[in-house]
Parts: sequence; structure tokens; C-alpha cells
Amino acid sequence: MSDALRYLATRTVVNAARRLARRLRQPRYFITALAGLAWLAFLGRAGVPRAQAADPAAALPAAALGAMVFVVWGWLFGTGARALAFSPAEVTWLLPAPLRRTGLVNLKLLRLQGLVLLNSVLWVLLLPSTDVGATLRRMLGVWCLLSTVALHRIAAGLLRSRAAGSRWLRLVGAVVAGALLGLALLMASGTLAAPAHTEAWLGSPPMRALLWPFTIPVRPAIMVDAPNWASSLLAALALMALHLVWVHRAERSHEDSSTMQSLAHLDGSTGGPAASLRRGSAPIVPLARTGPAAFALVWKNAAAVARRRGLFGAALLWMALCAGVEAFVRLDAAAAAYVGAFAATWVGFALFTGPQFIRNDLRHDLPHLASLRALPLRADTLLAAELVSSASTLTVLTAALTVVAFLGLRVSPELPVWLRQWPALVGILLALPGFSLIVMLVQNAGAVLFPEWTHLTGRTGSAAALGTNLLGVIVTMLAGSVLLLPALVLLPDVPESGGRAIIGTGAMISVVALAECWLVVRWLGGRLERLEFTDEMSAGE
Amino acid sequence: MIEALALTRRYGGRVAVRELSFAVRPGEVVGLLGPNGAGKTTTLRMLAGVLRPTSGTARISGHDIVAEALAAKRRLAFVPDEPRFFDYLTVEEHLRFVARVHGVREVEPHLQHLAEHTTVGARLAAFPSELSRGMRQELALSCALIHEPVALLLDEPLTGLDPIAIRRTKNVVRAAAARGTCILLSSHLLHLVAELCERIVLLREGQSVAQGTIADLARDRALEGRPLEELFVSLLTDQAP
Repeated sequence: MSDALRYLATRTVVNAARRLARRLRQPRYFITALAGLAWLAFLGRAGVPRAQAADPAAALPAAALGAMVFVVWGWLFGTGARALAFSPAEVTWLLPAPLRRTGLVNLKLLRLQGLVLLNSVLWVLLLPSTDVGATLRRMLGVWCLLSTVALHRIAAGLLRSRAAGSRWLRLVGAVVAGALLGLALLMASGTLAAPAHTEAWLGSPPMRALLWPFTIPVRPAIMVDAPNWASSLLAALALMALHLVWVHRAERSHEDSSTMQSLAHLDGSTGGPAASLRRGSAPIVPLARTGPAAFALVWKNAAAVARRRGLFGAALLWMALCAGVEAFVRLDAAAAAYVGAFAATWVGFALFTGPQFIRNDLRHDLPHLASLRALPLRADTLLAAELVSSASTLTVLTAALTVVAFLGLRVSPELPVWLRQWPALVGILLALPGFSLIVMLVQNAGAVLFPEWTHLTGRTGSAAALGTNLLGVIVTMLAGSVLLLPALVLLPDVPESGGRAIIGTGAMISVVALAECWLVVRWLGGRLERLEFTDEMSAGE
Repeated sequence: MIEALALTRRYGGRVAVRELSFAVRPGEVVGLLGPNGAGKTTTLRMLAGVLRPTSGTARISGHDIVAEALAAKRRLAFVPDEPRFFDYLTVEEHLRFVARVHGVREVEPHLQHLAEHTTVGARLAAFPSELSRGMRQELALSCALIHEPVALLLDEPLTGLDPIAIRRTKNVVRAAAARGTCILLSSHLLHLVAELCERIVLLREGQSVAQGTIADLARDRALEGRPLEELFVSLLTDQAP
């Protein structure tokens, strides 16, 4: 890397640290930073007692499978090449400068290391470790694994971005996803024999051969006993180095498409010539020519999600997952229940942390408050439209996970019978919009009432940001629980009641939540009208 | 010298710039004009080495921008229509960074000049987000000129500036041209183009519609003494590419 790029990297880090230090003098940043650090400390303490429980050798195939899924996902639907996209400032100052492309790519990869290192620390805190030496070995192993996977996804993304124009790779992706779906359906129907036990399946010769390349980077993160670790780390480092070379070669041969991605990002905000090149899928539904103005806002926010995410791929994958769980229900009920429990955990997790990453609502539009105010909409109508946008996104996500959870858990004898019947699924699906509205209401109310505490950019990364997110989750849980109380009071004695009562309860929860939201939104509308936007708010964290 | 020889750029199936050829000689200020979407920004980006031409050649002082990218880029400076800055570099650090990129060792005289002749010079410790649009434009131009480039490419340098900032920018452009810098600038502010540029290259849908001095082009159309706007409209409406 050239002297100038080293200067840029050093000054950026120093000035960012200074700005963070200045912000920590403000109570709100100090409190959120403390909360973030406390959360990290809690994770660290919680990880230790599980040290003896894990069997590294047994965990290796499953971890390799996880890495494989992550890599395949990157090939099919990933956007890894975005990591190499140059920021508008870099396009302005670095691309026309007499700097070698290799140096620029290395600068981007160095930036990526910040995220990789943070994730390495988090994973080490979450994974069990026995002593300081093992912890350090695991951290190095996890860093190597995450770096290799990140490099792989970047190279795959570069190849994908070039092929996107010809559509052949999208076709390949669709064929592979379709094949996975077909395989799962065959297993679900009993036409194709599925493995009796997951562990035995992962240990079968074909699966061992398939997973072998993925065990190379995974091994030093899992097998942290000194003799095994040292030899496996060398192989993992060699693989990482090969990936680094691959990324550079791919970037060189796809320099133009890589540059176009950067320019599209720049022109997206300035209306330049590359802006129109951003590949956008059609919105889910076309916007009707006439109708309430608020619908247009909801449509805009829904289109934003549809265009950013690979909805077609996700839908295919979801269907494959449902069919796969259905197959396991017939053949290995324990494995199906395990997947179901995992999905159910994610439903809960998504309901309370979902608002942190689903932000297609007022939080996303608040930096354009002046434009919002110019719309011929009352403030409470506008807020309601924003709320419905993100709540419906969260509802779709949690509903998809709920279906997977139900399919897997309906054979679990540990659950009460009423919860394993179809009316329970319908009841939960009916209640989800209510839950989603409530948790999104809490977040949007926070944006209106405490705008300076809200991350408008959605960026995370520092302890302060971690703390803000954590506080956001806690506030959501507390306020959400209070708002859901009236609906819970109305709950009948579910086990004694029939299916209709369960479905009715689900609907009742949503109706009560809707009524509460209506009242709160009407009140918040007045506050939104008086809200003044400041530069501090646009700066996010 | 800035040379464009049969420059072509495609975006997927769309041709943004087609077979464009022109040259800008040392000390000359040439205006690159055209309606929105004519291919001005794409042309400037290709000349600056930001975008690779699909075909054709761009040369800066005889160096091919693709084959001899580093040699060509050492001799040019490009200021885009809306220059963006690094969030975490101050005004002074931006200048020092660009100086390092171009191997300029003596930054202090530039800082001194900035402090004496510009408004942004009083805000050396400020971050770009704290600057007005005019100050950001001053900073961008100061950074662009720090290595005394042979070729200066300016994309809409006068748009959105107040009258005082416009006058300063015009003076900077004239001073650079007087030093022998060849300058290619795009702008929609035709009266300012008429003030600054000896020649114009008029684009429509990626193709050159007209090239030459404003006086010659006006004479050909019997529009001598009329505003450039009339010549612009006349050239664009009469000829189909």
C-alpha cells in the first residue's frame, strides 16, 4: 500500500477515535457505550461454563456444513463484492489518482478487517474456551475463517456482478436453488431416502468429501488444542492467502464492473449516468394510479426492501427449508424438532431485534424530513404508513420462520398438544402483525421522541452502537410487553378451548395492538409535526 | 494536451458516448456542453481514468489513460460535479493526503495560499461536513491544483455556488489556463461558459454535434452577438445525431 493510502488509513482511524472520545463525554453516548461493554462482558462470562460441553471433533462437520451453506449462499444470492465498492469520497479522490489498483483493493480489504476482527471477538466470546491460550488460538482461528469466507464471498460477488448482465449466473442460481428444493421435496414425499441421523449423514463418505474443503478453514477455529491447531492453522492461512490472490485477480479482470458498482452508489444520490444501471427487480406489486397517498409511501418502502433483497431466492430457499423439515419429520423427528426449535428461537429473536435491521420506516426517511413534510399527508397518517411498511416486512419474515418452526415442532412430544395443532399456527400467524406493529411502534416512537438517540443510518460497529442497539431491544421488550398486556388479559384458557378460540385469540391480539397503535400514532403525529431535524441526527452514531 | 480519439462507452446495451474525438491544447479552456444525459460526465470520467472506455483512446500529455494509467493520472486532476470528501479527514489533511498521492513535498505554501485567498483557508481544522458548498468547492479545486496538473477536468464546477464563489472559481480557472493548463469543463451555465471558454464541444446522446470556437459556430448559424443559449438550442434542435 502506498504512503498516501497509509496516511489516509492512519488519519481516518485517529480522527474516528478522537470523535468517538469527544462523543463519549456526552451522557447518552457514555451510557450506551457502557451498556455495549457490559453486554460484551456478559457474553464473555456466559461462554465459559459451556467449555466442557462441546466436543470439537463432533462439531467440525456441522461447522464445515455451516461454512459451506454460507459460501453457497454467497454464490447464489450474495452481494460480497459490495465490500470492494469504493465510497463516493474514494471515487472522487482515489480513482483518478496515480495509485495502483492493487493498493486500492488492499485498502478496502484492510477496512473489511475491522468488521472481521469485531466479529472474531464476538464469536470467541460466544464459543466456549478453557484457558487464555485456547481463547487466543480460537480467536486467530476464527479470524482466519471469517477472513477466508469474506474473501471468498467477495470473489464470488465479483464474478456474479459481471455475469449479472448476461443473466446466466442468475439462471444457474435458480437451477441450484430449484434442485435443492426438488431434493427436499423428494425426501419429504419419501421417494428419496433421507439419512436416519444427521450426525451419521454428515459422517457419510460423500458428505465428508463434499465438506472436506470447508473443514480446512473451520478446523483451527474449532480444534484449539495446541498440536492440532498449529498444523491446521498453516493450511488455513495458506487457503486464505490463495483467496487473497483470487480476489486481486478477480478484481483486476472485473475492474470495470467493480468500478460501475461504486459509481452506481455515487450516482444513486446525485443522479449521475451510472444511477440508472442499478439492477432493480420489479416491485412486488405495481403502484395503482389512484388511491390514498399513504399507500404510495407504503409501496415505496416495500419496493425498497424488495429491490435490496433477493426475494425470489429467499422464497425458494424457504420452500426448500419447509420441504426439508417435512422430510425430516418423517425420517428423523428429533432433527426436525431441532430445526423447529431453532426457527422458533429466531422468531422470538426477530420480533425483538428485527427492528434493528428492518428499518424501512420513519427511521429511514427522517433525514428527508423536509420532503416528508411537503407531502400532502397529515403527520399521523404519514407515521402510520411508515409504521405499516416495516411492520409488514417483519410480519412476513417472522411468519416464514413460524411456519418452519411449526413444521419441525409439531412432532415434538415436549410441547402441549394444542400448540402442535394447525389452529395454533393460524392463531400465531394472525397475532404476528399485532406483535410486529407494537415493536415497530416502539422504535418509531423513539425516533420521533428521542431522534438524537436513534441511528438513522443503521450503521453499527462501535461499543456505543452496540449499547444503543441493546438499549433499543430492552426498551422494545418493556414497552412492547406493556402494550401487549391488554391483549393478553383477553386470552381465554387456551388448552381448554378449541381451535376457533385459538384463532380468535390471535386475531384479538392484532386487533387490540392495532387499536393501541392508532391511539399512539395520533398522539405521535403532533410530535412529528413539531420535530426539528438537526445535523447531529443525520450523523447517526 | 487532452486528447479523445473515437472514445466510446457502453452501459450494458446503451451507448452513453459514441466515437467522440476532440483535443484540448495547453492553456485552452474548452466547454463540454450538452443536455442532461448527453454523455458529458461519462466522457470526463473516461478522460480521468475513472471509467474504462469500451473502445477508443484517451490521452493526457500523450499518455494513454488505460495503458499508461499512472503516468497519465500524475498529469491530470478531476473535480466531479459534487465532490465528496472523507468523513474523517480535516480540510488540511485532505490537502496533505492529495499532496502525498501526487508526491508533492511542500504543502505549507499551498496551505498559506489557501489561508490568504479562500474562505475555506480559515477552516483548516474543520471536517468537510462543517463546510458550506462553496467552501467544499474551494477545497476540491485546491486539492486538484496542488500538483499543478497539465490537464484539469471540471464537471459542473459552477453549479450551486453563490456569485462570490463563482467569481473565485472563474479566477482559479483563468489562472490555471494562464499557467498553460489545458482545461475541459462541463456546465449548464452557458453565460459562464461563454465567459471562460474559447471553444466548445457540444454533445447530444453521446455524439458530438458541433465543435469549434463560439464565434465560428455562431457565424455559421448567423447568430453572431446573440447569447450562447440561442446557439446551443439552435445546434441541438436542428441536427439529428
